[in-house]
Amino acid sequence: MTEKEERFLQRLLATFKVEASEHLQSMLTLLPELEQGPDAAAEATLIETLFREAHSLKGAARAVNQREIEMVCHDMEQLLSSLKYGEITVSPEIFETLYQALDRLQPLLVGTPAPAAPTTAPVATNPVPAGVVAGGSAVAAPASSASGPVAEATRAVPAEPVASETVRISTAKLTALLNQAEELHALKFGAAYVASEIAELSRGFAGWRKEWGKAGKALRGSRRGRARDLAAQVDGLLETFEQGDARLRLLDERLQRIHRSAEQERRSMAGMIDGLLDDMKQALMLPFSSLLELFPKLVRDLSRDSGKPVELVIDGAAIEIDRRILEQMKDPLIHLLRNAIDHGIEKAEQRSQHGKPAQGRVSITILPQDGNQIEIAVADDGGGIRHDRIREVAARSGLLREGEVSDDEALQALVFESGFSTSPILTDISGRGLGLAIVREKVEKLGGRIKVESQQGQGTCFRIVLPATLATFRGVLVSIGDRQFVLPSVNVERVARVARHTVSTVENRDTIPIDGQIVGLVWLADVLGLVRPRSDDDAPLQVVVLGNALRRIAFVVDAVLADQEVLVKPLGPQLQRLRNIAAATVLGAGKLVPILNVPDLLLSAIRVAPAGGAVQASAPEHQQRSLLVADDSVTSRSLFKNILETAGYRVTTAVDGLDALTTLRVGQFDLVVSDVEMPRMDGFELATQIRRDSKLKALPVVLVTALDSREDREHGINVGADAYIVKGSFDQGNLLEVVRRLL
Amino acid sequence: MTASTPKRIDWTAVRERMAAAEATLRETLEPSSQAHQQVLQQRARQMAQVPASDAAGETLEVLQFVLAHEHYALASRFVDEVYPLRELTQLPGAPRFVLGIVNVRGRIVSVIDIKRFFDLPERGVSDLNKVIILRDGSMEFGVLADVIEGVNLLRMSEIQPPLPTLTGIRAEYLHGVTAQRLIVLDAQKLIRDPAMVINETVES
Amino acid sequence: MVDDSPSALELLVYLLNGDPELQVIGTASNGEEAVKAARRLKPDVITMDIHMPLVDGFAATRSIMEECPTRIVMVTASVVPREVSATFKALEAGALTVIGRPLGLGHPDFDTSMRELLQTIKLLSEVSVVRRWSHARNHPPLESALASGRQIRLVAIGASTGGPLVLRDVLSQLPATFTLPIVIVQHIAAGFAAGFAEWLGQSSGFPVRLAEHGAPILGRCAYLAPDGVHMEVTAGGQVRLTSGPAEHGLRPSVACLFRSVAQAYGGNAVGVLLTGMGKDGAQELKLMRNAGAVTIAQDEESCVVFGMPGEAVKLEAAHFVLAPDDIAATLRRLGTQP
Repeated sequence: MTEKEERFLQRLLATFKVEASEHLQSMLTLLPELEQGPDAAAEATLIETLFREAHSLKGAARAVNQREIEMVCHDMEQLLSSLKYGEITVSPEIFETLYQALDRLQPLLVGTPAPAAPTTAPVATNPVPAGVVAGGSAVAAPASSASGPVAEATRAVPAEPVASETVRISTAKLTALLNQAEELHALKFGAAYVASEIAELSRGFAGWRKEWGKAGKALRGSRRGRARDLAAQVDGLLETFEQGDARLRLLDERLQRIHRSAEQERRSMAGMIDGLLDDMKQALMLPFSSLLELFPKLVRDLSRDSGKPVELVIDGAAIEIDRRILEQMKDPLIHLLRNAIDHGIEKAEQRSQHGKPAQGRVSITILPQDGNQIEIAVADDGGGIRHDRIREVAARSGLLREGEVSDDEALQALVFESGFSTSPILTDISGRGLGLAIVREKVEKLGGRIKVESQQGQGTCFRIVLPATLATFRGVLVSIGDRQFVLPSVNVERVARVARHTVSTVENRDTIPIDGQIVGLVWLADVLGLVRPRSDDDAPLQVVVLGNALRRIAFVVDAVLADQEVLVKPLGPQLQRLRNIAAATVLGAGKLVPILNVPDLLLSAIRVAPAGGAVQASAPEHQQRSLLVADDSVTSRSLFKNILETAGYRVTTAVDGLDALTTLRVGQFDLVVSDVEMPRMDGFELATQIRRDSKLKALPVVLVTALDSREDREHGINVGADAYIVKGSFDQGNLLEVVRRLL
Repeated sequence: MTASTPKRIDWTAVRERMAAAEATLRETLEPSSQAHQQVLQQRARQMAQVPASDAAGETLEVLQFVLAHEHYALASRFVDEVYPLRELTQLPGAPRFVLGIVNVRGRIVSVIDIKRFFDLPERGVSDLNKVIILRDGSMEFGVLADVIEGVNLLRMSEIQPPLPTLTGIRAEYLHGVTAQRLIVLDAQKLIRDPAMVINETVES
Repeated sequence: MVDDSPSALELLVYLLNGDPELQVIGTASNGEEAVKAARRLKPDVITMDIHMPLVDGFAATRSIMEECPTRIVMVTASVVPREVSATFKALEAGALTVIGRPLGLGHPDFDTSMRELLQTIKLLSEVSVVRRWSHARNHPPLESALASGRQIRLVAIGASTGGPLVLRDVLSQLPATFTLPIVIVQHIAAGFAAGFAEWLGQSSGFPVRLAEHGAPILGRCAYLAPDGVHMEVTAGGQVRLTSGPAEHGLRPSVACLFRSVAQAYGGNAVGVLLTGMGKDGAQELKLMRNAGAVTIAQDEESCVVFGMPGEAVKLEAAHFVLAPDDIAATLRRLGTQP
């Protein structure tokens, strides 16, 4: 296959996966309907549709050369064709065959090899149509071979059908979204207006500065002049001053105007964006049925595997919920169903003994609740959760103290504690370690809650209440030096400023009092492995108290900047899970800021060696020195900064020569490290300018460059650089040595 | 029924007849059919000019770049785009070869330093200005480079197996080296390498 | 291109667009869309699946042939005889032919399968859309042909592209008093013979069977050659199926059949060569004529492709060149006991 064909095949396979899963889902929905035994007309339509689905899937499979799938579909097609033409009629054996075929299709679609399907399985599908077509009477033989594979011991939960990466959405919803998006268009003009006004303003300032400069020059000149012209000069000066004043007023007014416009734009934008987001969320709402359509088959399988006849009743499947929440609920609901059938429903004989119908009943009921919430109730009419067993296990695992009496409700709540997930009372899907504790964690993570109600001998009901849409994420923006991080608001208990003297040491760890309680204290910089930025020894500490259910710790940061809504973005597929960092968000101007993982931080904080806290370890003497690093490469810049900061210097950065020069003039620096190749003003020019500047001329300059020729080195010396380091042979220690020597 | 073979019809004969008919037509009809034919022929010629990928041995289209004075190449099939590096957000605590994350039109892409990933000796510092975003299926990340040289079509025959000591990179990650000392990395291997995926937890 | 499976459609579009002489100008995923698109775009060729939601292939073909006729090719993957039969019904509505789905990318025979598909479509696109069956006009002077007093005992028919409908027309015009056996070789895609036989029988009302090796050739029955084997007749009036090498790439071939008829029945047979591409059977029709049989070629006007019969005409292999109705009339006269 050529490369072009390979690429096309990949694209085609993607289309195929989506299409195939749709066909499969459709068949999985239609088969149970057909089984219900509808009237003749409905039956005919169902059979026709089923046939078409199998036929289309076969054609699709052929196109991507998936021969196994094609063959399975072929068998189904034949069977369905016979049904269509009335050569055979529906029977349990037929359904069995068809379900088996679907079972074989699911793993094929996911791409994994079919589960331990015994070799009799293919035989089961082929002879059955033949035998059945022959008149439908010889059902004994096909039936036994059909049920053969079923009797096999472990029947895995049907492999997950291919998660569809597309959604269906009503055109009405889509149109509404499009309209809103179009309205956002208008914001562009507002923003453009503000931008142009500011540009205008900036030009005004530039003009003014020019004149100011001229006046300054004249003034300096006149200082050297004769006293006789003094009055005239003062007049001239006064005029310049008044002009300047008028100008200032004009510019000020302009600024006010722009400010008002910008404020207005911001308000409209906020309104439009919120509206659009709400509608988008609505668009992402899916009816529960899209998840629940898997379940009838699951219950059939579980029922058969456990040998207990069980029927599944679903109510309220049309209710819609945020798709993301729905996706998260799949595993928990499957787990609860398993639980109900494995442990809840008793065996048929037992049930008859208790006067219950032989067939067990499991129900899933969905109800909307106040406050944009939805309740899912998974109930069974089995034996209920036995309190004595709960007590037993609880006592054994220390959750309940000996002899402690708890009411029924408290007991039932215990089943959610981890410790129960491995008990024989409740099902654990082996290999996944999924227990009710994890179900609860998932539910709570989505902003919901779960509880269980049970009556001995009558049944059990798990009630899950979920929000209908995912709430937006709020975070607290903090800074450490010039780095920023976001802490999830949900975990931020308190923000406070504490005086350093309130820090005390308890068992070799720093603590501070917060609201009358002693809370552990650590520096966030330490926890993250960053250099603690300089600060005055007696300035108060800015702390953020983070907590989860287990513990709370106060973290020292440089500043708390804001508390705002943030859009959570995942870190990308390569970084599946990073220590301490959960995700990232984009702030204004596209700046990326990491969102920290609080549970990780809390654990990491414990492991951080007590640094003797509030008192800084005695720093090297050059801690007072300020350095400027100029380089247009972001990586080089941060590299030099890291090296120098770790060595204890205070570092500011500049992105090119001009930026560096301006910063040097405005601030106070002890040394400059500069690249040579930079836009606007290169390193040589910068050095030259520095030497010319009266304030800066004594400043040590270290040039770090890729240029290695003799001429370049000489040039460096000529412009007055104190050191010339070549990047190609750069060595960290070398730089530090040079810097130390020059200071 | 015996196995069926696909039907073979004598297309050559048919074509002869049709060509004959065509010739007759052309003599008697206007240029319209002629022009039509010409267009078809021209199109066929254009199609024929596209370099056949299996002419003599296979070829590999690569993106060439410079990193720390070495020349490397990656199969362009896995290169999603090249992005100039402006702002890099560092991730404290991440492995050394993960330099940080960048924002590519709203999507977050992690950026790695190949030299550090392969534990190559770091000689000097270089201006890593470009991010080559690699993608294979759902895995995506960026690789920093100093200079992008461009796209080139290599013949597989030019790529020799590497001498172990020459590049310092383990052979499994390389397609090989060319005579011009271009180190051809196996992009797919790199992208799918489990060592590339970071999955850490904090021990309690 | 019309198909309700997006994947199959995508593959077909990719294959056809890969050929510089073909361009896909539209797609549809059900019969209703197909009719609308055909009306709007006026394509040269339409490929269509028969099983589609809303309006199926048959109904869509009919609508299109009524409003904006063009060349329609039915593409199907089904080889269940009933379903194939249903697909052939589309021929009655005006579709040109039925072909099987191409194999998928990655299949070892993909290239061959693709080339065949493209060639078929290209050649079919040259076929004239409007075919008129000319009505019975000339009654051929049969007396002279029968002068030598021979007795006709068998009819042998060979056909390719466009054959199915002609066969149906001819067979449907043979009355209950028609006593001759008919042996037929119809070039058809692998796997379709059984379904085709079923459809032909149903739609013509004439008994049609898939030939079985060794079966006696009985009167008032048409025996269709199964795909993948050559069909011959023995002097003893039996069917012989052989898996000899393909002739001119064809198996079953008309040539093989006609040759065996000439040998076994000599002048006591009728040979009919119907529409189809290529030359299969033309030379052998001449053999039959030389052996004394009555030979007929379908006339150019009514042929979908005047390949085989045209060659026969060139070789002067046919006594008569007739339209389907006339062929039926001739057979009636030759084969009906009063």
